[in-house]
Amino acid sequence: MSQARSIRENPRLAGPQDLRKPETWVHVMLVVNSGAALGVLAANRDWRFFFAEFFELAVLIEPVTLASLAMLGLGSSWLARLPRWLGAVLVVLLVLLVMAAVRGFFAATHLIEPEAAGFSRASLWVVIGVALVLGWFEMSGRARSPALAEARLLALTARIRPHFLFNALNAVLGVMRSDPRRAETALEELADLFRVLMRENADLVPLSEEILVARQYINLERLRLGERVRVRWDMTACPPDPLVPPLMLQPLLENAVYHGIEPATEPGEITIRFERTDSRLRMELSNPMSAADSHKHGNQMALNNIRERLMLFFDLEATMTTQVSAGRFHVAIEFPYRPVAQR
Amino acid sequence: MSDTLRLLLVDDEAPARARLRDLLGDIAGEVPSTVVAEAADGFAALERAQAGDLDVALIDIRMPGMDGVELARHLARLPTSPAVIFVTAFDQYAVQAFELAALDYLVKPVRAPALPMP
Repeated sequence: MSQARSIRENPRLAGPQDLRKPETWVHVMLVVNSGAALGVLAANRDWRFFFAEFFELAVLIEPVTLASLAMLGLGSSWLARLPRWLGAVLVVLLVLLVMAAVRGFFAATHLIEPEAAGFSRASLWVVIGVALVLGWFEMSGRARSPALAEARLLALTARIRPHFLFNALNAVLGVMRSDPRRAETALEELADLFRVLMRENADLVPLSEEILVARQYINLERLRLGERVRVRWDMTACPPDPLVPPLMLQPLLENAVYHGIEPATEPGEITIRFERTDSRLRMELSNPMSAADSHKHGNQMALNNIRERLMLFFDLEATMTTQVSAGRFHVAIEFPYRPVAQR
Repeated sequence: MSDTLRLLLVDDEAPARARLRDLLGDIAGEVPSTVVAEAADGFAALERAQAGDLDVALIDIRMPGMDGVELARHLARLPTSPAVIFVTAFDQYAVQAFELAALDYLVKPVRAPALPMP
């Protein structure tokens, strides 16, 4: 299990392919062999000869690919320092050399008799094959770059409903004269919330910080909705201070208020429960569902946003499920448990 | 109608009602008014309006349960119905408000210059 505490340490996002890793070898072998199979298929006149033809080719390309990978793996740290184009040219030259050597070996030992005229054709295939693999490395490297993941996270975190800011400001205006002290506190809470929104948010944070943010948010909503908002915390099965992804609790609460409390005439209760089961931490939140709720669509957007950010932190190790039962909307998030003390 | 306007404030959020009260106080010199009653939802407002002692109802459009537009429809059917002014954060309701023969509408956050009354 990965122990990442920041999206920068997410193993899936770690730099371009490392040629010393076995999974890179598997990927390259798959790409090369698929390419060869496609080539054979294209040239194939009769389906029955396909396997024979492919096998004939595989005997040549397997040793070439493996030997090239081994040599590139040894020289990879040196290659990585060269300019991209020079590295690519060197890789092509190296693979051509390996191919010539393997053909020479086969010819000398009479194991297989390569056609003498086939060398230039084989060279062309090598160039195409290497170009394909390098191009694919480049693309996937870009898609996985930590910088891109951080930018994505920033964009996702920034999507706070303007609705909330608008309501909070109006509520502050409302109590400004009758209770200036309360107005002051509310503005401070609002400033604190935005401070949290503005920070980098790429690292896991202690749960206590998340709870503080959530409480400040609820206080702000209380100003406006009064006793209509009730929150019940159940922390009995929660370890003292686990690390959690930043800004998950507040958006979920905002969602619950927006869909469950605001449209209802009666006061509603939001319940939050944290629980550790072995190596995982589970968070459950539920809110009453209002039949009059007119903003169903926004709900999905907020939840998808949280789901995507969970993925950036934990990949497939995090799950998020939602369900409706007994007139309440439930959302549960589960991810690997990491205590603060380990940091 | 007496010199002092008798008002009903209807909004589900207490700070919004407080804000209206403050601003009405600001313009009390030009437009004397007194807030006779406040209601946090449409049903309570309708019940209060039965008494027939109101000149103007300031009504928030977006409220849970009975919304402001529905409340205005009910008020219009009373024997002595107050004039209705909608208070809303959303301009989109304005057209609907005038179809209901509302006197005027105010866009939240309400500011004093927007308040001149009949």
